[in-house]
Amino acid sequence: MSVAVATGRNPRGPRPVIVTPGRIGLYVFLVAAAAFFLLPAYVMLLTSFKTMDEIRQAHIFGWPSGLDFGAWFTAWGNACSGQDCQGVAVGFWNSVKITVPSTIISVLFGAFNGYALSFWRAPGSKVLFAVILIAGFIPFQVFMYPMVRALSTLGIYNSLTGIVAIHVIFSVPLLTLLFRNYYASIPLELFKAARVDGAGFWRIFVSIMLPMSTPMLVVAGIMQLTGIWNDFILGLVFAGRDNLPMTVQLNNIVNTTTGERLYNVNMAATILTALVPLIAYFVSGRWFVRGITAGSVKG
Amino acid sequence: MNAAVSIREVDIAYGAAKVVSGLDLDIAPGEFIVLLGPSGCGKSTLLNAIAGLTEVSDGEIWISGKNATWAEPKDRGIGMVFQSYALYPRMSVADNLSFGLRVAGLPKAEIAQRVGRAAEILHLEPLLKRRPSDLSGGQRQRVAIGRALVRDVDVFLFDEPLSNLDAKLRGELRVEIKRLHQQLGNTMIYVTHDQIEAMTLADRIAVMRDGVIQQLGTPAEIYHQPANLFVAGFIGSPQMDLIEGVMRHENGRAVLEVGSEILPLDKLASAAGLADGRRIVLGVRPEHIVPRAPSPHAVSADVAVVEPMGADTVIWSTWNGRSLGTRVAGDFAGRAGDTVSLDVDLAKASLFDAGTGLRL
Amino acid sequence: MGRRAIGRPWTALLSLTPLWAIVVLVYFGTTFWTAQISLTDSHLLPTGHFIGLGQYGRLFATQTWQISIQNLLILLILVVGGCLVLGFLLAAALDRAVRFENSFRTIFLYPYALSFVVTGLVWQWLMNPDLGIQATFHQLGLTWFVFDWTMHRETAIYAVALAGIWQGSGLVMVLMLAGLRGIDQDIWRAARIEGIPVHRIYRSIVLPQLTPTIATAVTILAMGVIKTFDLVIALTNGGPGTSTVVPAKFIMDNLFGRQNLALATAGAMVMLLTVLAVVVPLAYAQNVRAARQRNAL
Repeated sequence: MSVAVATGRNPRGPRPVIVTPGRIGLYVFLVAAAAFFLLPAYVMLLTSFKTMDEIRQAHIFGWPSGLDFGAWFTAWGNACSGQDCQGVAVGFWNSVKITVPSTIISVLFGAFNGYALSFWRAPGSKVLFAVILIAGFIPFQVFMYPMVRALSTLGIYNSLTGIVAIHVIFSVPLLTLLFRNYYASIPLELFKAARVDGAGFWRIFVSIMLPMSTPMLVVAGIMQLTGIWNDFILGLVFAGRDNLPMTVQLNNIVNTTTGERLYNVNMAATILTALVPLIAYFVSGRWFVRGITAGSVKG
Repeated sequence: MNAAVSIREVDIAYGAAKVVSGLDLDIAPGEFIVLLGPSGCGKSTLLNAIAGLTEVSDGEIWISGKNATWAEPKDRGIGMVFQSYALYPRMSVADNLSFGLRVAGLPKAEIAQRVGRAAEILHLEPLLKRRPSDLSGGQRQRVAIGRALVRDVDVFLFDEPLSNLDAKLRGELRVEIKRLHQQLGNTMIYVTHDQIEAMTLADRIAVMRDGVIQQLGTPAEIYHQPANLFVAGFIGSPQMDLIEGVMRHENGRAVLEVGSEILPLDKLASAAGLADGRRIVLGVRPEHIVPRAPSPHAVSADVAVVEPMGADTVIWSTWNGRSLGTRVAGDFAGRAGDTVSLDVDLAKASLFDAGTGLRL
Repeated sequence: MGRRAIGRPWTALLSLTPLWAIVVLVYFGTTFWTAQISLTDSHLLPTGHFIGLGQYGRLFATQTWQISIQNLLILLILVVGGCLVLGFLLAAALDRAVRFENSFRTIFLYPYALSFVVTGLVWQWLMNPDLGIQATFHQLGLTWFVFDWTMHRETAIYAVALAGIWQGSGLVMVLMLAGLRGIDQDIWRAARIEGIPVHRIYRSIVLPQLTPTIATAVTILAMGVIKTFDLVIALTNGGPGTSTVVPAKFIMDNLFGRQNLALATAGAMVMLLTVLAVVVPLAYAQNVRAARQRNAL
């Protein structure tokens, strides 16, 4: 009724839209938050296109006078970490070599184990699953020394095989949880019908369950892709100097330089390192969010 | 204007789709009016508009003599009961009832008095300390009603409150709601798709379809004089028997030609003025078709299915290629395959135009 | 779950062998081995010489470790608290039917897709006193503005906290948004009819219903904070001095750099106990709540 009084009109039809201070405040908050989150990206991007002279002028929010791609080329191919001046390109390909097999193997392994635990009541399955969940909380540092020794003994310490194995092993808890919960939502009748048709353990997995798991395979794949690419500590310890992932290389280039720091190069290198997961994020959108919410459901 | 609630030329649209068009409805104070119709007919949308939860695209809504079209729900003098009860899950029943009053800053004594009164009327006293998750469906619904009751308002809105309950509980709570109305005397606007609820609770029923009121009348009017084919088919279980045919005047008598058979319509006053050759539909309630000894006025039909329901029995028989439903006493002895002679009480029948569906 | 699965268990058991192997050898095996080493006086290599809890005593007497524990507590409070508050506010704001919701959500969540190294480097750059935000403000004449937290021992840890909040709030927002969307819309309508103001709806009705979501968010955040390593390495490398050392870094330094094997493993065991101390009560509380709900139905 007060709206009618305020506007002096006879109330009829839809209410006139009054922009309340509450509504304005809401948008102010959201825009401010967006600025807070975008600020670093904005600064990074701008800095990477500036020359060192421009950077020294310390106008961090200012536009570069021209789009200087020099820093980008340097970052990719020439940036130095210590004596090594090969840029992050080496790290990029190392990360690819690490991430692709790790993602594929860990996701398939997770699907397989989730399937075995969900549909087949092997003795001890419940205990196994509970233990795996708890194990997901154990910090890396507890595993560190023994795994280093174990991989050494097997001859795969500081090797590509070693780092892939480590990534697969450490992603077991999360992926097993994801897939087991996913398969728990598939009706048991489907499984029973396949059994009645005479299909065995492997047949059911490969021909029926795996094709049905596409959504979860995509979600898990994206999560693993992002997580493994962004990993630092495991790559640092287990990959070996020839296979250092991009994150480790990046940190070396930026944080261990003597002499003047080339900030534009550093920023370009940083963006290059962030590019793959960011593209995956922007492309996958909803799948990314599904990964977060699915992973947060504790069995 | 005496109406408790007055809806004037209201349109409600969702985007481009018009859900309610040009609706007018006056509801008298103390009246129990039911908005009845199938899913998507606009009844819930209309109720939400009365409550102020949905905006109207055109028209006005008046409540208790004041133009409430732009008013906030809390200022309209209404209370509402939802299908899903919408109780606050983490609060006790007592807190659920008193929360709105506490937020409004009412004095403690008044709050206690109102909550006490509502609890007494709805038999909630033993449940006051419990949480919604500890209550049965029927109990939760009573708390939901109680929450509206403590608001001390003139108009109560019910949005399909019994749809989530099983049949037995539905029957019990229906009686309680009717008793409540008799005790309190408030205006009540009730939305449902269940015609039994409508028939038993309403002073008047507004049958709705596609956003338009098909008929507004007392349960008796709606039942015995349906305004069109839709209302005729919607109310009544088993459904009214609808027989399509052509109007003929033979020897000065009005008859309905149905295929190769003839039904005399001389007992129906409305039949007299209809033109020869007009296509019409005859509607007869199943309880008005009675098996009798064969006679010239009776129609002969073959029994297809017999449904004994205890107190009554419903017979489905085939006549002239059509299926007719007949409601008879529970001790009917016939079986499928028998031939019965059915006496149709045409005086109580309705005639509709075959094209428009309107009552003649 | 209560599923009665059919099928000969033998094939399944056989196929689960790799999983069992991982569980026994890696999870149990390494934990025991690490625990065992922590009870010895090993330096470069395991000596097998038991000295009881001596390493733990030495650990807690080490100043760097004490600083790392202190920093961990500061980070737990600030990052978990900050992410919860900011994440909730963002989710609540987006839930109010605003325009451009998808765009906002994309912006708020993208930091989560970044490596901690990237985050650390970027914030290090922003807090550079000569070339970062502070310098820009000073150039505009606003010389009172200070934003060089990474340069000073007292403030460096707060730089880490800020970067952590920046990275983690999007995650909390996603969880809270899912939680908010799970609340029956009719409850909002009922509250509106009762005339309950919006802030009161959040306080008395929405937040109590979000308790499980909050618990999940706290668990995930706390786990992430306890594991913090990459962010510190990139942002400050533990400095200035040792002011931003965190347990994970302490352990790594002693494990690989200073050849204090037993000391490092003792630290690792303490980390493990801290994690269990956070996770077990929360898991227990959730189990109790789930059981109570099952009984109520």
